[in-house]
Amino acid sequence: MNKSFNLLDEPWLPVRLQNGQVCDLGLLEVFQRAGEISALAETAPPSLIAQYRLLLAITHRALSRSEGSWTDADRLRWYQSGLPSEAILDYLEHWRDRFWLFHPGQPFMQVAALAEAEETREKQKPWAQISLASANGNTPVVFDHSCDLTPQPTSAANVLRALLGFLQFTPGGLVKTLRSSDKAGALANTAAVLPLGSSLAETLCMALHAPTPSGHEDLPCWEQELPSVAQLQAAPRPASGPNDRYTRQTRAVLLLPDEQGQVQWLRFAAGIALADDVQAPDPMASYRVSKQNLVRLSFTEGRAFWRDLPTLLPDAEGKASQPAPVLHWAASLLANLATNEQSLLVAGLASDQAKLLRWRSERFNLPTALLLSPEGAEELRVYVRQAEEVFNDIRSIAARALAESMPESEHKDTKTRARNLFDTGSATPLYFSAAERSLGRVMDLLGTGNSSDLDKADAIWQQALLAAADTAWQSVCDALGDSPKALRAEARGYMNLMKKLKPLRPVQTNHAVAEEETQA
Amino acid sequence: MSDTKQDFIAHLERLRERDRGAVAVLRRSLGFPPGAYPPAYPHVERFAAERHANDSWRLALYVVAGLYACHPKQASKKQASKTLASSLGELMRKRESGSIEQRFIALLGADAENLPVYLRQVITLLAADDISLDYAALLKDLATWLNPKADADWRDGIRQRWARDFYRALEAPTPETEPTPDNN
Repeated sequence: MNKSFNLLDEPWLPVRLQNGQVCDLGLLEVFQRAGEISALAETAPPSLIAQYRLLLAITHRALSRSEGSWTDADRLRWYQSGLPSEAILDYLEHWRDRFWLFHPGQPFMQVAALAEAEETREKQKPWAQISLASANGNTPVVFDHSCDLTPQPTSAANVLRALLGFLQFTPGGLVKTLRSSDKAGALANTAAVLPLGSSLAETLCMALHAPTPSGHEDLPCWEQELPSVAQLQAAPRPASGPNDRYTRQTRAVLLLPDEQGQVQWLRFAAGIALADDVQAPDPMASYRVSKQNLVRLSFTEGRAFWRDLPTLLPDAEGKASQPAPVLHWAASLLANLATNEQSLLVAGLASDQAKLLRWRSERFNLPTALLLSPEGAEELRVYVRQAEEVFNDIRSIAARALAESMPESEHKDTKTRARNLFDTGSATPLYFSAAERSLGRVMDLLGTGNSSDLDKADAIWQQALLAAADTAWQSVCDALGDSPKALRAEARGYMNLMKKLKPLRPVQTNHAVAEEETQA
Repeated sequence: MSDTKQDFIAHLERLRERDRGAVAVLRRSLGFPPGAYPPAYPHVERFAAERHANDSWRLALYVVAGLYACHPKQASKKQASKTLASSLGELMRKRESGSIEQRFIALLGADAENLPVYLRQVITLLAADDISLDYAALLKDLATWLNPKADADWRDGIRQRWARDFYRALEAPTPETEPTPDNN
């Protein structure tokens, strides 16, 4: 195999320029024009996060090489006047030989040893093996018609983007080559969070991890020695730091290009397994406290992400959440900037053991004050908790009403069926999407910290929850039907609901404030 | 329309005070399909404003006139929210009888054809305990309920409101004045 397709020169990374144009660029051009690029334009959430992580690892190593170490003041300077692109380009040129996607000895993020290893040299798999959006093996994927026996050839750029996302988000599970099963990628089943600046350069400054302590090495995969079969079979090892995490080859892959430079087949085996380290969580993963355990934030079916928004905010006591470290790094920069609002990208892939469930990408604009002050964050936490409590009331009242409208309403199976009927109905998404409409305004008001604004936020949120409850209850009525029995159940339920909602009923002044806001 | 309803109820109240014979005629009209008892025409027809024979507003006028004649006790203006359903709820609370709920449930399930029959039964119950109700609100709801072309959601909205009124009155020792959201 001849070496071809160097990531530094070939256009493979989709970016959106400040003028809105979307195009593919090579790494050198990406760093040269980092100020002109507003954001990466990848549409697959796992690949999007993985590409940012790749750029962060490159930036970090380049700055370590040129600066040695840096402080927040340096980061602020780069944020305001641009990254030292010379140093980064110089670094990339230095490691140019490790950035060939196709290379007989050291292909980028792959394991050349698979071509010779006894377990893999005779075996090849379709390239869809590393495409999280494609069906392969016995995993059906809706709207995807990949076929393992006759894989559709794909471009080198496409397979590279898929590979990056796959290595970060692959769930743990059976591999049966070199090892029977393998550990998960660094971000498996995670909603990764990333603070976004108005340009790629700003984003990279904001999310950049701290300099590696002297005497410690944290190398990305292209600076490490080439992985051998023995390494692939070794015990899982924890990441040496973010650079290792961001570029860890959690599965061993070797792309097999055809004569046109397209990829149809690859070799595949267990990778360099990543051991969990409770002391060093992933910089982009957040955790919420649930029953004394820390639960990594992911995307749950039918659950609007804003319900977990407080998890991303500082928690003075650490009892409610553990925000991603990357947010802490961003906050230390934001403290010196006069910005009122900060964009957050939340993207990733949810999986259940080895089954991939859904991927999602959401963007939130949070008032900077909430990201910086635990007190402001606590206010929002209270509001979100209130929304959850009202919803739980609706859920239990509605389940009761649904059970009452069925035969044998007191039987426990009937109650279970009623709860399932509610959970699979439209009430939940309707409730949370209705409440979400006021969330932005409420957060803005919380961000100012004025007491009059807090009163306004209170009034608006209570109005929003009442409206949301009304919408949800209407959908419960639709599910109940219109038999007399159902009408009776609905009427009883409605009365109970009214009692529960009484504390939210606006006193005259609150109502007036909310009205005034609506008109504004 | 709302004025017409109030005017009609005021007219019935005047009949109660001054024309016992007219009230007896109207009471007798309940034994016939709505609007099919000619002796009742002089007392009701002018409020029907030359509508055709099966117009739901006309039918509702005759049903309400007959019911009022059975139990001529219009709720006072202070008790504007005292609908038929809340009066029934109040009655059930007083009597602590499950059969009233059964009758109310049957009423909710009634169609336009047999609705007057069920209404007559429950009005008789209210009359026995001398509980008043707002006939104007009843007239408004019946005009929709008896209309075969009315949007089904409207009809369901009325039945839902009746059910809510009934159970609210059943729970509350004093009738709440908080209006229910009207879906109409």
